[in-house]
Amino acid sequence: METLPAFLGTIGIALGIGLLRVSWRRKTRLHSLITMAAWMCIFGGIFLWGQAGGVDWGVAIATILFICVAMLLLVFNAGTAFVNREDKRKTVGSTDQSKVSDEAPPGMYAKHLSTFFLAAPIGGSVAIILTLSVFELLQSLGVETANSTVTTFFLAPLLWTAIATWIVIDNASMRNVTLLFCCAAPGVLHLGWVK
Amino acid sequence: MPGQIEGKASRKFVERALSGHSSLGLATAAFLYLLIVSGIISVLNHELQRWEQPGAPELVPISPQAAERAAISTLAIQQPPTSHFFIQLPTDDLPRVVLTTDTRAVFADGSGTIVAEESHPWTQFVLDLHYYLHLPEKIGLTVVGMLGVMLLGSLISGFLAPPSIFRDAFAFRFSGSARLAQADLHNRLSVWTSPLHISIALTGAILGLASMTAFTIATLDHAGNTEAVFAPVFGEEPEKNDEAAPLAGIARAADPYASRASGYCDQLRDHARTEDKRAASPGPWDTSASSRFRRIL
Repeated sequence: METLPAFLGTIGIALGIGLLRVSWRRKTRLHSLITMAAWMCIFGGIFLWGQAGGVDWGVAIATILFICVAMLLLVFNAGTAFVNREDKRKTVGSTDQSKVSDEAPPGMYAKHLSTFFLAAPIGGSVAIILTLSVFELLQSLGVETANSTVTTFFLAPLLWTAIATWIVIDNASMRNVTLLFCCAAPGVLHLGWVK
Repeated sequence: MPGQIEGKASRKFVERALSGHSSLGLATAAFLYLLIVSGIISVLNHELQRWEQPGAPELVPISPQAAERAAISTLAIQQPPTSHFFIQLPTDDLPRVVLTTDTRAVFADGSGTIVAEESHPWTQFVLDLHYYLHLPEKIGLTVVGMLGVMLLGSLISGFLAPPSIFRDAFAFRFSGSARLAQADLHNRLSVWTSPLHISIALTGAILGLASMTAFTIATLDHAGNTEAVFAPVFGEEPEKNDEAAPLAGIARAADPYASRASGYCDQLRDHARTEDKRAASPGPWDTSASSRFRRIL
């Protein structure tokens, strides 16, 4: 492992995290500029670590470093907050999350359950139908079978995630059923036409 | 007025995203916990295997000829005849020679003698829990893949839910309610460890769902033959032939391994040095292999 790129990479990541802290804490006129510089430092640091330790090991170490530096800052902030907790308790009001009631509204569990079924088994089936449709499309376009297969393996979980996330966020059941139908129908029609 | 409407819409979106995030969490948290804990333990599966069978021969340089002898001995006692056969040569984290057939796995020592059956039930228990949740193989893999998708969905909805997720990324509040402190802990840990969570969830989902996707492609295009789906990616197996054939040249096949096994090279280098010092009785490596090592190192 090369020491200089690793050292510079570590500095870049630490500097990037510091800049992110400055930028996210308070919005100033230079907010966008500082955020961009921060991410450039972080990605530059990861790149340098990739040069130093290889794209697999080096990037993994850089990612862990990124997490550790952020956690150190977070622990420092938590310590400061803990020391000052009595003073703040009098001044700081509640936030959005502290307003959330501890009591579950009626029918919440049934709604969660129906949302889960729409997002998981049904959403998964729709994602697979769409994936198969893409596979057949790639095949008909003359893409190598190995490439189409691997693309399909990557695509299935991504599509399912997108559908599941949409459904759990927009938890209006009828709209979700319509969305699933609209996603599945073109896939089914395409597969029916191909076969 | 438009600002007010926008604010209401945004608040509603946040509420919905939070609700969705908690739905996914409630539905999958217990299973994800099992998968994650078993995954963490599985990282050490080679070390655990060694602890479970401390008596197995280790750190023994095995020559290609001895590997071939071990293979012949294993296949001679194999009943029923195997259609697959693997020799695992020593590596840094698992410095053992393991010969695996369709039905069993055995250890060999440096001379190629079979010394014991491989058996690490506890490690296998943890691995099976991580890969299949102890369900039948294909169903288990699919369920694990689905949990990967749900974890990825939780991550995305988690990023969309709290409006100040980035502004508060370095904040941890002890003031106010205990619930607020717990929410802060949850949000901060999630945000800063998200690079690892995303990669673990995505790769888990891809691996887990590959067999289900392959099954559907096979049903559509290959009359249910899933091997035909994987063949263009991983290569296909030769056609089955029941006629007996002579054993392949295992010694010759194992020989190039010596120049490629980087971790094992250290042991072999030490071995070569010892050989030099002794300058007498030949070691387990034949002259050509030994001299090749010296050239490489």
